[in-house]
Amino acid sequence: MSDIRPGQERFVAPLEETPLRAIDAVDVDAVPESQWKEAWKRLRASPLFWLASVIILVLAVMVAFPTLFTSADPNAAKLGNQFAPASEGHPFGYNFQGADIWARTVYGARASVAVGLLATLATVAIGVVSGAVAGFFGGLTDTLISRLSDVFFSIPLLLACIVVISVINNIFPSRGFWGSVLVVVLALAVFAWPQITRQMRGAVLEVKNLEFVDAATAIGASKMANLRRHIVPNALSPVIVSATIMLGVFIVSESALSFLGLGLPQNIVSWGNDLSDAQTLVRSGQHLVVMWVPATALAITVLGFVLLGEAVREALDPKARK
Amino acid sequence: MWWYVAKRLLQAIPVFLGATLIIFVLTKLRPGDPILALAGNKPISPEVREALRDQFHLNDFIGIQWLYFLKDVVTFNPDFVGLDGQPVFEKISNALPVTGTLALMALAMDAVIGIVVGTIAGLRRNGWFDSVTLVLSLVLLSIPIFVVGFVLQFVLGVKLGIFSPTVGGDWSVGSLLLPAFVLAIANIATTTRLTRTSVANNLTADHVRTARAKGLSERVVIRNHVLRNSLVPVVTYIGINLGSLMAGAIITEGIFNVQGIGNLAFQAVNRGDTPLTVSVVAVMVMLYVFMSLVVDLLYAVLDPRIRYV
Repeated sequence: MSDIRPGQERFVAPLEETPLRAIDAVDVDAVPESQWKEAWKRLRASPLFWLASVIILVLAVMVAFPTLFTSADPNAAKLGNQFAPASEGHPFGYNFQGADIWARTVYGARASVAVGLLATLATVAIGVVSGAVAGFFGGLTDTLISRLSDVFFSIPLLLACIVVISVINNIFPSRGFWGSVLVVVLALAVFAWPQITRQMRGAVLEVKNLEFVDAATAIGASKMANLRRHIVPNALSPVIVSATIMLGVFIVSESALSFLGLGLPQNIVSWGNDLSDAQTLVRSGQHLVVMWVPATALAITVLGFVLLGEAVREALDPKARK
Repeated sequence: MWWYVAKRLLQAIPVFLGATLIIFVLTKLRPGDPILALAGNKPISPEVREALRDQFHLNDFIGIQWLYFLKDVVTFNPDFVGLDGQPVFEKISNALPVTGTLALMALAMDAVIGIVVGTIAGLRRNGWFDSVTLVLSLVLLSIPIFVVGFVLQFVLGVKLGIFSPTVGGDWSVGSLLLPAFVLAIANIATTTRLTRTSVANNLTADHVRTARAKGLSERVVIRNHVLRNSLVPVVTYIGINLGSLMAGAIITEGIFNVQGIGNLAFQAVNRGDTPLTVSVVAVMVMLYVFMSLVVDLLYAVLDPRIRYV
């Protein structure tokens, strides 16, 4: 076996690994399973998927019931507690303002997850609709959408977000939690959709010439019904993978924007803001715990979504597997 | 091929126009009187104000203002000034070399590390090296760039003193090593994954099997038949990202105090300096268009099946 190079092992299937039953017997009565059911079956078998699920589940509970994780108030700050060490109920001690670091991290999950989730939903919604329309109808519609996506794609995302958020900050200086979240979501979605659009357009172009679409047309399905019921569902899998990974990327982007002072306003508890606050301390190498706690929470969260994306990619594309 | 290049450059014109128009209109939506900011928020006589408004074409319709901007940009007007009265082109040409060097260094690190590590991982798929790279690249993708930047700056720059912790105005290639690496980290992770998948897929391709069947040595098979084909998607990714690297430089330049384009853009946006902001965006957009053309032309080198018409 040792001198077999990668790629050669498939020349001849070893006989003992090929049961005769598998060659001879074809189960005629077997109901063909849908693509999604098969993918779900493979997903369940993936350890990556379960690891990601556990991370995301813990995160979801943290967002919904922060009091389960901490009893401290993230906004209560007493300067007397500045950099106070860890104590009972305050596992990581206090930050510069004398607020509980762990409590701020637990409550900060909400803002980060809200930005990531909403921005992904918005981006995917715009991208799927525009990409499907462009790929399916072609012609002038396709040209218009493709050129428009070229324009938005050519501006670097971070730079565009900085411009949008800086302008809106000057128009509406104070706008509460959801208002602030929506601004970041808007900035991200408006300049990130071309990525999904291009993917969706490519997938639709591939799918729309397959036989089952012709079959649906033959039995009298209208154009729109065909697009909605047959083409889009079969073209979605690359988008789903991208969207999962995008969610993680957006959460990182929010923290990067907050680092520049353009993410969520200072009065909102978020990982980005906590990390941004911690930068001066890190520069002098003091009280690094102020940075480590939110940074680790953020990294684990993003890792959860990236892992989920990987697992879904493997499940949807069995060819890429071993 | 020249016909193809000309066609692509023509297609770039609407992209350039659209992108500058979007950013131009966005920055104009910002409330507040730009003239007041120019005068340092001091009272200013109506005559001077009118003269200044005239100079910056602020009395015209926004579309006309944009056309004036385009005229200044396209003719490289040396008197084209930002809202602080300083010439825009001079500022950009002062900031461009350092950011360009930074981005190209990051690009080189990305290409070398990403392709080498990715190829080894792809050739020994599911071995220990592959597993370690997979975990490492996913972790690197998950940590915000500025956290990595600060930690490396503190550990390698301040504590150990191996690299210079800040760059400042008087930059050198040596002082840019650490910032370039920080800038490249996220891309290295993706390039590695991409190369690994691509190499692994190509290993089982028919043409590789044929090459082996011909009796070519393993080295030649890997170099000429696996790598060359695997690099097509990788080159796209690396090349297309020069623009986003320069935008990502906004953060890296902030951490390491590099006086480059990112810093310039950030200051311009915060000041509401429309001419400078839109000019910087225009530079980035042109860079993106140029790089995507270069990438498409590289395709033909890597994949002889591709011909341009």
